[in-house]
Amino acid sequence: MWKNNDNNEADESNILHRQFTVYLATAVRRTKIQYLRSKYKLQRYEIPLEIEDSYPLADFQAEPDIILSLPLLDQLENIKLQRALEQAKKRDLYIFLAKVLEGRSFVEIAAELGIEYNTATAAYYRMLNRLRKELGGEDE
Amino acid sequence: MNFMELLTRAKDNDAFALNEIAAMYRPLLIKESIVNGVFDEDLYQEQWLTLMNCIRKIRI
Repeated sequence: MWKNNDNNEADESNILHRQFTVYLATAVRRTKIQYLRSKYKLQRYEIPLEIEDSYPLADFQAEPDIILSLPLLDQLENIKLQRALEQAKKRDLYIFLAKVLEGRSFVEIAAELGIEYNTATAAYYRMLNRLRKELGGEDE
Repeated sequence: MNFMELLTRAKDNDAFALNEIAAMYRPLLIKESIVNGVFDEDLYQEQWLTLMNCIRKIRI
């Protein structure tokens, strides 16, 4: 935009200009991502209500074959539970499901993921506490 | 006026300098305000705030 006059000041100005452009471009992209994320979060809370209203879950139960062909998380009938599981960290979720559904031991899971035994147990109990909190947690 | 002066003046809330920088970066802000091919007015406003923030925060 400005001619480079081969003097220091112009150089510095050009460098600053480029730095500012890069800085702004990053910031602007980040703003966009954050904006979309918060918007998406709101939508997640809006949609389940509509689905619950328009399609009673009892209808889905009548056809278990269809449900079983869905990905694991979509098979769940409890919206709260589904949401809680989806929001969990992928690794935590994997550990939790391996423990609960496949009944594997922490030692096995830890060895498979290459993590400490304590990390695996911590992830498991973190998930448990999280689910208790999300689902209202009457049963200890 | 080179960019350094412009930025320095913009930091001091100089209207002319702010306008110059705004004109320079408006296309970028517009580009980053388009979601799935639709222009998002709210996001566009957020992007202006981001620009103002950047002007305020950058060290010269």
